Amino acid sequence: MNGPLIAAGTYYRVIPDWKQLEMRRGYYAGVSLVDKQVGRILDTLEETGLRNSTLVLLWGDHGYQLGEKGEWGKFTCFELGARVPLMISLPPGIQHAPGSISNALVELLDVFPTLVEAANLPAPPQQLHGQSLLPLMEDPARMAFKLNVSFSQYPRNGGLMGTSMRSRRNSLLHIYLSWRPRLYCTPILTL
Amino acid sequence: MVELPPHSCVQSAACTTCLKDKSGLGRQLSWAEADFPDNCYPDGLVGDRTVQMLKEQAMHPETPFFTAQDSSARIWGILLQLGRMICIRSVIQQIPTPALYPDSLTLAIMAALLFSKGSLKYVDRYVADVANWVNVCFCVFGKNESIVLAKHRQPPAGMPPVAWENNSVEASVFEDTKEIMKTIVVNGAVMATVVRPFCL
Repeated sequence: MNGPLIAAGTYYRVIPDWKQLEMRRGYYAGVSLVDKQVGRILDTLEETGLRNSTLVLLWGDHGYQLGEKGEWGKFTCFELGARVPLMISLPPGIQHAPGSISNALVELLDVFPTLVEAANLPAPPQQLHGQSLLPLMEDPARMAFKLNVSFSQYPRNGGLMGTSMRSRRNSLLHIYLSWRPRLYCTPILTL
Repeated sequence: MVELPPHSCVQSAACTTCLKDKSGLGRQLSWAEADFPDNCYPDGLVGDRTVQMLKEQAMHPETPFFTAQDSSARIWGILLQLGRMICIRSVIQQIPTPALYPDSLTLAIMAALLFSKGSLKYVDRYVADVANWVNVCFCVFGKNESIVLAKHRQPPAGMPPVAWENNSVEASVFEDTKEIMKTIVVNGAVMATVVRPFCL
């Protein structure tokens, strides 16, 4: 295998504690700035009366590692790199359980079908990979909602595609597949 | 009408230099520690634009609208045109008796991705050095939150090197981290590693 040969965890050992604290502090500050902007938008929706006809969906396209496993960044298939926040606020008129939290496994592929159903639009003619989350929002405890596992992908160095599979048992399976199968092997391992 | 700056400050090299000079903090990304308005940062600018658009749109509730806000005017323009096409198509198709008419779609792109994109008032919400008794008092009696190192900082055993990234994000943001890390070539793959002996 012709991948990078640097030892795992090297970075954590060599970034001083004071610098790690500084970087985490800076990241938190950035999150607070965005949090304030989201609050301003929600306040504006209330003030203008648009809130009653607006579905608010807040999500991210990746997670982040702030020193966990020795990593500083988003570019991994670990859970902290792949798991994203997902919050949905429905307007009155759609049955749901406000303020509830669900532990069901979902994917961002489910966002589009959710919006289509919430807007009472006809389903697209082509087959969608996702599934509307509205049933889950009616009953957040519906653990058998859809998935037993969820998947995430991120390309790796050396021409590999990294895929992680998350199950309800907190196990995380990493699979690294090559774009050039004649040159690379396919290690499979479980955390 | 919200008064918007023509460009986000941090998008031009001139502004970056200006912010650094004003902060006088030298090695750090200085705008992180300076006290500037939110709309000097891309995320604050996106917030301004979105609020402005919502207020204007509320005066014309009969008009379908779409907006995609980003600190980059070019991307914003492309997404805006795409959204308008989607809205127009939805209206033409005459969606049957919708419970929620899809008359608006707002996409606000914000990125709390890079370190230190908040000004001093946001940085000051958090205290990084909890070993200092003064900071401990701030945490206990003030509204600040203490910052601690990550849990589980050691990598799990048995993972192949390909599972890891070269931590390029923080190296690109913090100038002194760039000094700590140095790019070398390892077996044909460009990776970041450490050359500063005091860190070892």
